[in-house]
Amino acid sequence: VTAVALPLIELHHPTTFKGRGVAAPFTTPLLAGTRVRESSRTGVELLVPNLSGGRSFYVLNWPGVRALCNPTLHDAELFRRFRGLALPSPALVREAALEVALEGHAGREAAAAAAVATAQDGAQRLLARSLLMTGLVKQMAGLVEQLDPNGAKSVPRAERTAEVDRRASAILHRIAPSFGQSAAQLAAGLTAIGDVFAPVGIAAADRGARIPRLLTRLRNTHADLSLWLDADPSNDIGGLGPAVAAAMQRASASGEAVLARTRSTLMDPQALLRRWMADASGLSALVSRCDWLLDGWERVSLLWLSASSGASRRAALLEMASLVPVLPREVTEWTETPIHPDMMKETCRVTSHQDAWRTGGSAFALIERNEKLLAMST
Amino acid sequence: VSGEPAQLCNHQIRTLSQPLAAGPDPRIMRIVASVDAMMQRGSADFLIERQRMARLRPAHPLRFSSLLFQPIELLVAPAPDWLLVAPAAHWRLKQQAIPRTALIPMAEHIRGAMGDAATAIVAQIAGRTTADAELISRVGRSLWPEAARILADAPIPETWEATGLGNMNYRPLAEIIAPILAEAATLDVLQAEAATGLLPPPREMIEAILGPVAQTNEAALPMMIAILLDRLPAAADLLPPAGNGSEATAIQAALSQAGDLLLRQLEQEDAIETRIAACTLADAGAAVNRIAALLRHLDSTNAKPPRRERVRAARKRLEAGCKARFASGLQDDLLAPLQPMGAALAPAAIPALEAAARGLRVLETEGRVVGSGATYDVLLGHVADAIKDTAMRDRLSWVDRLRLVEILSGPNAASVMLDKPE
Repeated sequence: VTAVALPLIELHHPTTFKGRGVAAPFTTPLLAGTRVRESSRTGVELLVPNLSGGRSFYVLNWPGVRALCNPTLHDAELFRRFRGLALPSPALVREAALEVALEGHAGREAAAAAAVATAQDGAQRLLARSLLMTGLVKQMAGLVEQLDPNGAKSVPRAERTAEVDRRASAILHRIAPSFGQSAAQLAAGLTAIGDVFAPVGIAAADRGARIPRLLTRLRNTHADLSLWLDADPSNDIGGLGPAVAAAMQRASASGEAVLARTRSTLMDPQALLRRWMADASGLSALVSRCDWLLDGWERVSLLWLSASSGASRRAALLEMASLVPVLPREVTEWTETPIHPDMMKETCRVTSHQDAWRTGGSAFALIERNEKLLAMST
Repeated sequence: VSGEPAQLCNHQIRTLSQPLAAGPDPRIMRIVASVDAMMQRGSADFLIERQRMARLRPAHPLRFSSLLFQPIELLVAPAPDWLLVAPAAHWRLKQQAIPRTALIPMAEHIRGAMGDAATAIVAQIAGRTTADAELISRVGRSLWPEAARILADAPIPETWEATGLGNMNYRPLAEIIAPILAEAATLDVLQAEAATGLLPPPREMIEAILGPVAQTNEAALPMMIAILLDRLPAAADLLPPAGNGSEATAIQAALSQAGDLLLRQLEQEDAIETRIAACTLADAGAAVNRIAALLRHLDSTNAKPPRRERVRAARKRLEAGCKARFASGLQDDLLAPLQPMGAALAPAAIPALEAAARGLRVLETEGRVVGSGATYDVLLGHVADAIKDTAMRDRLSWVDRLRLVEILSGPNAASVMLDKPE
């Protein structure tokens, strides 16, 4: 590493989410914690954490990464897809990662998990579209009992769907003039809104959509970690455990708040549709806040969940601490949502004298472990 | 294999073991299982050569005694002639070894003293084998400290006479074993943490382990240090330097004896080869790493020329053992499953192939540290070429082949393969 002429080093306290970049699920051990962001010069660039654990990041293009380490084929394929992204976002990076995993570059287990995740995404989108349509019909037609998605006992499912479709079509035709759009455009808008909201879920109590599932995983990880730390104080390493647990709890609480806030826009489907037709990208950005807020936390959680023995948990704690995401100051502009100010501060720092634990022979086990993390990903 | 265990002389053992040496592997495995089923094994353990046993890696049933004494396995004397013929006449404390005959009476005694707690442990390990490292570690952590307490206080076991070691040897042996068992759980944790590469052993913990022994049990100290270094070679750099008080002086003196003990162990016939061969392929690299680190310590700057010469010889054997394990792993775990050409491999077989490929690479990485890498380059190149070959299309999917080539030859080789699809 010392022989490499390293390029730009950026002291990194990000101002914007775009500047912070998106956590990239690379499997090469030396690329842990790397983020991808838009670059005016090269399309996309990577922010690779300082290898010794210092504050700075290396700002690298792919040849720079290859000078630093020998990335896996999975990572090379993932980066190839990143190059095709206009503006990397958590959703697009996840999509790219699923594509590469589906091709089998992270092993069969990750490929099977990616297939399940892709199918789940599709099912969530269908469900979101359907619930949104139902919500609009309920709002406009005042139908409550018969069209309640949980009211299957009163109307058979197929009839219910057909009835919703019929009424939705009638309603869209009725309101289209007031929107200055055609009914078909409104229908397309509703479908697009459903797709955008699918990861957060439409129903207020939905815990099956991707973001609520991630929040549940974070909460469970926090509970498990706290229990382990409480059970034996010697489990901790220099205060890292409580620091990571506190950061995780803040992320979880803020994530729930942003989720609730995002879902509150669904209370008035007609207003939501109007907003979409007027400013689709603005509404998309609002909905994607959950993703941006929680970006990077899944890997932290999975590191814990994949460790079972006391020794592997203590080792995981060191890795987790170095990956705790720091929010950019841009988050303060989300004035309507309570974000804990400590989420914009570095929780803790882990520095290391050497990289033997993730290079040489050790790298093989870590790559395998990282592939397992991909298979566990939501 | 029933009735009273036979104590055979070397000539008798040789006569019986010669026909077995030529026997096929399944037959040997059946004999091993029969011997494992014996309550008292006598000389039966010596019928099958150690190298053969190491290669076959049979999993032995986990018994109370094997769990109990797992932490001191390094010190248990193998099977020299004197132990088979007349142990009591020859065993001396300065030999720094635990005669195997002492173990069963001690284990029975401890089991009786523990009562229901021992019964619960026996229930927990029923049907499990000595290969179950996680269970041994978990259950051992509750057993070893209690056993240490019992050994430290208990009178001579009633069945001690059968050891042939004489009553005068019980207390010295118990006082050597007890402090090692008392620290076994801590050593176990330290070793597991060190294996992650992220958590080196803390100096104060090493001092806390050795300090009390240095003060009160000079005879046990070299063996305690030998166990420590065998499991945590990095601890050698954490020992207090001589002149840093009486404890430190005692530790440094014992360190030299521990070094001799460890070197003697490594010099025994096939000892290094057996250690590497007895591990699964996944663990073989770690075993090589530990032995290499141990040899580095034994070859430290103040080592005298004769020791250096012995270390050099041991390193050569380590290099050879590493290559032999690599070749057998390559053949048994990777090439053999790929051999019957034609039908596609079951998807469930792929993770095992990838694990074998990873194990080989780890072993190769460690092997290069102790010797030349040319053999590995050639063998890895050949197997990667075989996997790239179109003849392998029927056995493995394209992406499975790509991944195996990536593991065996690196991402660049896989990338070239990806760019030139068949």
